[in-house]
Amino acid sequence: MKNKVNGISRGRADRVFDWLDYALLTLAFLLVAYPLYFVVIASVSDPVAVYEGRVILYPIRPTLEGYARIFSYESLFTGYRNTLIYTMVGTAINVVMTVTAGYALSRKELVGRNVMMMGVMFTMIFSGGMIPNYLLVRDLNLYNTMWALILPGAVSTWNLIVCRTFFQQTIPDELKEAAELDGCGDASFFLRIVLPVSSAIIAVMVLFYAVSHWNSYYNALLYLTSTSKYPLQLVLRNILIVNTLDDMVNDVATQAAQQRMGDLIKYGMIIVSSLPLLILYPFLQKYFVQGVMIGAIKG
Amino acid sequence: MSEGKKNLGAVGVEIRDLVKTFPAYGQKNGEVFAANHVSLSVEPGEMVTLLGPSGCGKTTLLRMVAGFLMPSSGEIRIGDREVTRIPPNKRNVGMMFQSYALFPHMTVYDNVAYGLKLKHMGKPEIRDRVRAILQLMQIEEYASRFPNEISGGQQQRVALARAVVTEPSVLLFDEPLSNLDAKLREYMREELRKIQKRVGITSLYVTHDQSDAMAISDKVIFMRSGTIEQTGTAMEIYARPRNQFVAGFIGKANFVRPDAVHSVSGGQAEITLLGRRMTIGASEECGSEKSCVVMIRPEDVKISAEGAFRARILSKAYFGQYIRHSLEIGGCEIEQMDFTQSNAALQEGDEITVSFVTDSLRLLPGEDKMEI
Repeated sequence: MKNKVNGISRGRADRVFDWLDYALLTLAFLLVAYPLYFVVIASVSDPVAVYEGRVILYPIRPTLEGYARIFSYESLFTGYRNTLIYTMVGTAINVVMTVTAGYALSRKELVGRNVMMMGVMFTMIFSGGMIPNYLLVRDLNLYNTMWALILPGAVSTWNLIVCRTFFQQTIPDELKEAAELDGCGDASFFLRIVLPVSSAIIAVMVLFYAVSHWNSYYNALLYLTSTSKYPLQLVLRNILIVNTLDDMVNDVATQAAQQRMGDLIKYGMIIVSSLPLLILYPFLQKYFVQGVMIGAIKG
Repeated sequence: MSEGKKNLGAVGVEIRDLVKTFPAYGQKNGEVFAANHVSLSVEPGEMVTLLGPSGCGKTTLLRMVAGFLMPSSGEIRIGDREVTRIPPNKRNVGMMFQSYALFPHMTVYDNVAYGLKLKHMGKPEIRDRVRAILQLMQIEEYASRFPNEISGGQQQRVALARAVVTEPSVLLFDEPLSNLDAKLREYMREELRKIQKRVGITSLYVTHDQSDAMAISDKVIFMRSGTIEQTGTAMEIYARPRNQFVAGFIGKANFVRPDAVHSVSGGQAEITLLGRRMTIGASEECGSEKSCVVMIRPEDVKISAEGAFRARILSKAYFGQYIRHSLEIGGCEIEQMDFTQSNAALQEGDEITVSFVTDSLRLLPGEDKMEI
C-alpha cells in the first residue's frame, strides 16, 4: 500500500483505514466469488467427494460425467435454440417498443404525457395477477405459442422509466431545435440524431431484456404445453426432475448414486445455463452499471 | 454604421407589438407577460443585442423570432416576409445556441454539412461550401474530429459555421459565450464580431452580460419584465441611462440621493448634492416631484487636492488596471476607480478631497427596490 499519495505522506489513521478497506472489500469479493467458484469445481468433481464436503478449493477426482449426462439429452439443444430465438426476437421487440415509447414520453411537447405516464406507472404498482393474465393470453390465442412469452411483457415499466429519464437528461431541447432549423422532422431527428447518441441506453436495454428472457421459465411453464417449444431453463428443470424421479424406482445403493449424480447434474446445469451470460457480462458490465445509475438519479 | 451593411443581400428584422404570455402558476386565469407589446427593428447587416437580467423575456423574444415559440399576438417580419406563423426551417434563420448543440456523433465536417444535406444539395457543392466556411472560421484542420475532441472555442466556431453555412437571412445568438472562461470569452466575442462583419449577416444577440453587449453590438436593446426599457448604442446607454435600473445594470455606478432638486428642464437639472449646488444632465423622465437619484460612475470620482468634497478611505483594493477605493463622503459610501494609479500611496483611513466630473453625473428616476 502506498505511503504517499500525490507526494503527501499518509498518517497512521489513514493507513489503518486503507487496510480495513482492503480487508472488507476482499471479504465481500470472496463472499460473492466463492459460491460461483464452488459451483464450477463441484460440477467437475467426483460427486462422492462433493457429497462428503471434501471439495473446497479445487476439484477432487475430476470428472465430466455430469456434463456428459446433461448433453446426452437432445432436448437440451432444442431448449438452447428456443431460448436463443425467444431472447433475440423478444429483446428486439422490447427494445424497439421501450426506446420509442421512452423517447416520446421524454418530450415536453407530447400532449397528455403525464397522464400516459401515470397510466404506465399504475401497471407497475397494480397488476391483474396470474389467472387474469393466463385468461388473457388464452383468449388472444397466444397460448402454446412463442408470442405468449414475448408480447405480454413487451414493455417493462421500470425499463421505460429508465429510458425516458435517459432521454430527458441527454437529449437537450437545443439539439432538437438545432436539427429543426436545419429542416429535420421528428422521425428523422429520432432516427438520425437520437438513436446514434443513445447507444448506451440501447445497450442497457438489450442487456436488461436479454438477461430477463434468458433466465425466464415461469411464463413458459404457464403458457407452453408442447415440449418442443420449451426454453432452456424449463428443459434443465425437467432434466433435474427426471433424475430425481428415478430415485423412487431404484434400490437404496442405486438411489444414493442417483442422488449424487443429481447433485452433479445440478451444478453442471448452473454452468450450462449461465455460461453464455457469464461470458458476455464483462463486455456489457459498464452498460449495466450505467443503466442502474440512470434509474437511480431521477425517476 | 457597421461594415455589415456592405452585404447587399442582408435583410432586416421587424417585430411589431409582440406579446407572449404564459400561465402564472398558482393563479387561476393568471398570466405572466414574457413579452409585453414589444416592437423593435434590426437594420440589414446590423448586430443588435437584447440585454437584460434573467427572466426579462429576451430569450423568449429570440425563440419567437426563430419560430420555436408562437407569440400570443403581434407580428414578426424578416425582410419583406411575415414569418410569425411559419415553422423554424422555413424562416431561413440560423441560430447559435448557448450549449452549441453540436451533434456529438458527427464529425465537425458532418455537423456543418448536415443542414445542406437536408436541403438535398449535391455532394460537390456541399463539400465546397463546408470547406469554405471551415476555412473562414479557421477550423479546417479539425474537420474530421468529433465535438468532444476539440476545445470549447473550437466548438463555438463549429456552431457558428453550422449556423451560417446555409446562408440564413438572420443569425440568432442565444448567449453563446456564457460557457467560456473569461479570457476565451473576450477573445471569442472579438472573433464573433469580426466574422459577423465579414459575412455581413443581420444578427440578433441575446446576453445578460453587459460587456458582451457593449463589445459587439451596433445597437443595444435593454429589456426588463417583458418590455423594452431603452434602445441605443452601448455608449448612449452607458452615458445616458434612462433610469437607475439600467444604469446599475450597465457598468458600475454609485447612486446618491440629492439634497434638493431645484429644477429639471431640457435634459438639465439644477440640484444640490452633498451640500454643493450644481447643474448636471437629467433623464427626461425626471420631474422635480419624482424620487430621483444622482448616478456617479466610479471613474468620474477624482481624487485631487483641489477637490470640493472631503472624503475618508474606507477600503482599498488593487485590480492591476486600477485601484478601487471605497470612500465615505458626507455620510454616503461611494466607490471610486483610480485608473491613473497616481494615488497608490493612499491607505485606509486617510482623509482626502475628491471632485466629480459633473458632465458625467446624471439625475435619474430612482428605483424603490434598488439599494442606494
